[in-house]
This record gives sequence, C-alpha cells and structure tokens, in this order.
Amino acid sequence: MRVRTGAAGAGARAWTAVGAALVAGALFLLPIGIGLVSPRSRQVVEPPGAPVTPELEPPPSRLATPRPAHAAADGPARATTARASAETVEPAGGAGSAPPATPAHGPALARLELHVLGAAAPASIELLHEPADGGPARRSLHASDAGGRLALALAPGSARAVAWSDAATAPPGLAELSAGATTVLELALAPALPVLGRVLDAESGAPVAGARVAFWTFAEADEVVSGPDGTFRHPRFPAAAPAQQIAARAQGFGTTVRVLRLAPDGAWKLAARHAGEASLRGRGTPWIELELVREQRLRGRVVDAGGAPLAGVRVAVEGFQRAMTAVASPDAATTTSAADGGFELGGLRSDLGHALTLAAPGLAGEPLELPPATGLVELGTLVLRPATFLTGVVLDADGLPRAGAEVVLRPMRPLPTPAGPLDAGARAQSRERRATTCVAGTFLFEDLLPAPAWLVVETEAGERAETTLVPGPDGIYDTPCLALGPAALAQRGP
Amino acid sequence: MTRAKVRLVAASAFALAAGLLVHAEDYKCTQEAGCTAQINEDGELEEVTFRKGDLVSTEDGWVVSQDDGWVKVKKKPGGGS
Repeated sequence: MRVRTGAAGAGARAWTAVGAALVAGALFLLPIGIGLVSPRSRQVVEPPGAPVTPELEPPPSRLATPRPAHAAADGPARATTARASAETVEPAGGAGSAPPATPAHGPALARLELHVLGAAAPASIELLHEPADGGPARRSLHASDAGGRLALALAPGSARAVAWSDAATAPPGLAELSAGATTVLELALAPALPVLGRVLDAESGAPVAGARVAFWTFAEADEVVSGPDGTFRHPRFPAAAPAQQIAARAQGFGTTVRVLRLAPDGAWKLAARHAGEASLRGRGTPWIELELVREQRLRGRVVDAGGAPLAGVRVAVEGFQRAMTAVASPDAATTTSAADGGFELGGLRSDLGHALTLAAPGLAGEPLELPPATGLVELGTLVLRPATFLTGVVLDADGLPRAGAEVVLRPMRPLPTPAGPLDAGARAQSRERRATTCVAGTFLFEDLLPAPAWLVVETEAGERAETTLVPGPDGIYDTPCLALGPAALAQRGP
Repeated sequence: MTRAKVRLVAASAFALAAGLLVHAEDYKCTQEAGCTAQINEDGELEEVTFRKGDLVSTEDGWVVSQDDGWVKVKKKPGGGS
C-alpha cells in the first residue's frame, strides 16, 4: 500500500485551513484577501553530507612513512587571499563548447562561465547549485579545460564554486544566476598547505585503510584516501582560510569531524571537542590523528494505523557530534521506505544519541529517541497516524495583522539527555518548524503530530508573543491569535 | 583588600557569569552554501566557515549574523526561551 497522497485529502486539509484563517480574519476585522502562506518548514532540505557524484577523483594519497617524529615546516609560502569575483553580462558566445543559455525547448536556463585563474592544467571544480524554484540543492564535480575554463547551463538560482589543482585552491565564489543571462565567475588559485595524519579505529587503535578525508567546509569532493597503514596526506588546506572542518569517513564507521586551524605564522591547532579534551597544537606541517567509531545501523518497517505497509515514507535520523566545545555537527542519514514499508540506514556514529523521524503527506508519527548502540538495531514496526494542521493569526500592538512575521512551532517534549562527551543532545532543537505570516497576518503548519506544542513569534523590533497549544480529542488545535507586545512583557515558555 | 571589596568582586564575577549563561544562544546554519562565524582566537578575530545544519553556541564567544544564514534555535537553560 502506498502513502496517501491523494489530492482529495490534501485539498480538504487546505480548505479547512483556509476556512479557519478566514474565521480568524473576520473576528479581528481583517482585510479580505487571504494570500498564500509560505511555511519554510515545507522546503525541501537536503541532508548534510549529501552524496556527490564525482566525475574526477583526485589521486589517492599513499604515505609509506609512519608518523614523523616532529613536524617540519615544508609547506609552501602562504598566499594572500585568492580573488573571486562575479559579474553578470548579456548572453553571448563563450568558452569552448559551452551550452546555450536559452535552449530550443524547456525553460530558459542561466549560463555560468567559470574561469580558474592560475591553472596550468585542468582544474577540479566543485559546484553547489541551489535552484530558485525551491528545488533541492545539488553538488557536482567538474573539470575545467586546460585553460581553466568551464561553462555550464543551469536553472536560475544561486551557485557556489570552489576550484583546486595539485597543490593550490581557490576560495569560494558565489554567483546569482538569471534566466537567459551569462554570469562570469573568476576563481583565483593560490598555494595551499599540506596536512598529514592517520586514521585509526577508536576502539582498537588499529589503522583504518581506505578512509576518505576532506576539508569539507571548503570542498566536500576534494578527498584523499588513507593508505594501508591508515596514513594520509591532504595537499590542499586552503591557505586563505584560517580554519576548516576536516572530516573522515570509512565503510563500517561513523563520520568524525574536527576543526583544524592553521595560523599565518605556521602554528596549527586541532581544536578540543569537549571540556575534558586538550587541543593538539604544533608548528609547521600538521600531523593529526582522526579516530573513527564503529557505525550504528537502523532497520525498521513503517505501517499505517491499520497495519498496512507504507511505501515512500521519508525516514530521517539525526544526531549531533561536537566538533568543538561550542560547535555541533550533524550526524544524519535519510532514506525512503520500500514497497513493503521497510527501510535501513547506516553510517551513523555509535557513540551518539539520535532522533528518528518519519514524514509522509497527511501522516505523522512520534519522533523516536535512540540511545547509542553499535551494529544493527532492529526498530520493529513504526506506525504513522493521520496528521493535523495548525493555523493562526499574528496581530501587532494596534490589533492589525502583521505580515512577514516568523512563527516558530516547537514540540513540548523534554530535551534529550546527552549520551556522552561528544553528544550535543541538540536533536530536539532541529525539530522546530517555522512559517511566515502572509499579508493577512495568518500562518499555517501542516503534517503535524497532534501533541502539545509551544508557539512563539518574535520581530526584529523586539516585539514578542507566545502561547502553548494542546490539541483537542479530535486532534485539532484551536486557532491561536498572537498579539505582539514588548518582549519584556511576554510570558516565557519552555 | 577589605572583606567588603572581596565580596563585591566575587558578586560581580558571579553576576557576569550568570549573565553570560543567560545570554548564551544556539544558532543553526541554514544556508546550502554554508555560513560564517567569527571568534576571537589568540587575540585575533577569525572567520570560520560552517556547513548547513551546524550548530554554534555563543557561549564560547562565537559571533554570528542572522543575515548570513544563522537562525536562532533555542536559548540555553536560564535564557527563558
């Protein structure tokens, strides 16, 4: 059985929501003409660490030498900040075999011309493209021609591009892409700094071969692979950026994230992750050890209230590991249930707590708090029930509707208890839902679990209003009216 | 230093610490292209890049801008919200 995605059910909910909003508007003599609500919570969110389809792999590192007795300052001289600039020009002929900005069929595309300055050979380019139509953002890996040029036809939106060659990196360039127009983005290569290290099994201390290591806050696809003795050499720490997250991943293990700083004077620091850990410091070429913990795998099956299997349900699991004392990085995975409702997720850290959520149009389920565990965890059968919605109105101090206000809905569940020194215990926070009020001051949340919740709206002017919500026996919330007032006078919630 | 001065200094330190706790806030990076935050490192203000989904607490001195994709997710205990 498939998830109920029929237009009838969704339409009924939408009409009920609009009706409730109309009643709220009439009660407060609101102007007629309710517009569309644009809840941000409905936007498609790509999971962190979304897979990249590489078209060009950098050569893997194979270091035969063990850990050096002391680091040597053998890196190239630090360069000044690389230059990246963007300009928009009219559609025109361009580099090489660039596709046209406006194809014969289909919607008009934007043309992005990338110029990698200082490239003596084809350079690698990682592109993150975010379409303006709200579609999911995608990463892709490309190679420039020998002159450092690459042209792409893309849907209008925004793009972030970084480039690298053997021992040089270009700082990220950002561009806005307009239909039918050509945008030129220059990426200037500058000498990068090498980083040496070793990947180890945190439990046994044994070296981990085949681990992928990347400075993923710079370029996720610029990975090197650890050798049989677990050592690696990444030649491209971007010299223009003082700090990057370094991530290590391997089959059968969870992802480890650390923050590495390289100061202009040659000093480096691998930041401590929690109060009980010391930062690792040195000078010259960094030598760092990255410990991987064994993975946790989750397996389960999703059914509806009648016990029928549900296919196509989005299954998301999320935890947070500390990358620094005040920085948490998501440890997450997503999948979709199969025809029999079954799903399996892997690659999660076994030393963190995680929250598992199920999402399908018109259905909702209680998030599942999962304690740390190693290996395969059988979750059994998980039930989704009919979801509810919430609509309400935000008024200013004069009783007039407030448009453009951001409303936050937060479940009134207790925060999870951190499971260990690296567990940030922040997973409940990420379940906030946000919506923006339309011109009539109304807002709408859909696909909610009927459960007590807390609703708050804050404005940049310091106004604030909040309320707690408890659904009735039928799962329907009363329509809240949030009257903005000075923040100091507002009641404080959880 | 007199006993009264010692008490005053201790009370001031306590109030400062309590104030820092009250005002510590968590922010989440919501931009696909990542977000930047600044922190004072060894006397210099450093800009650091984060990935979408990363959380940063201001308790350690991180400075974030909501114009740069950071969204406040929850105040620390004692902050009220």
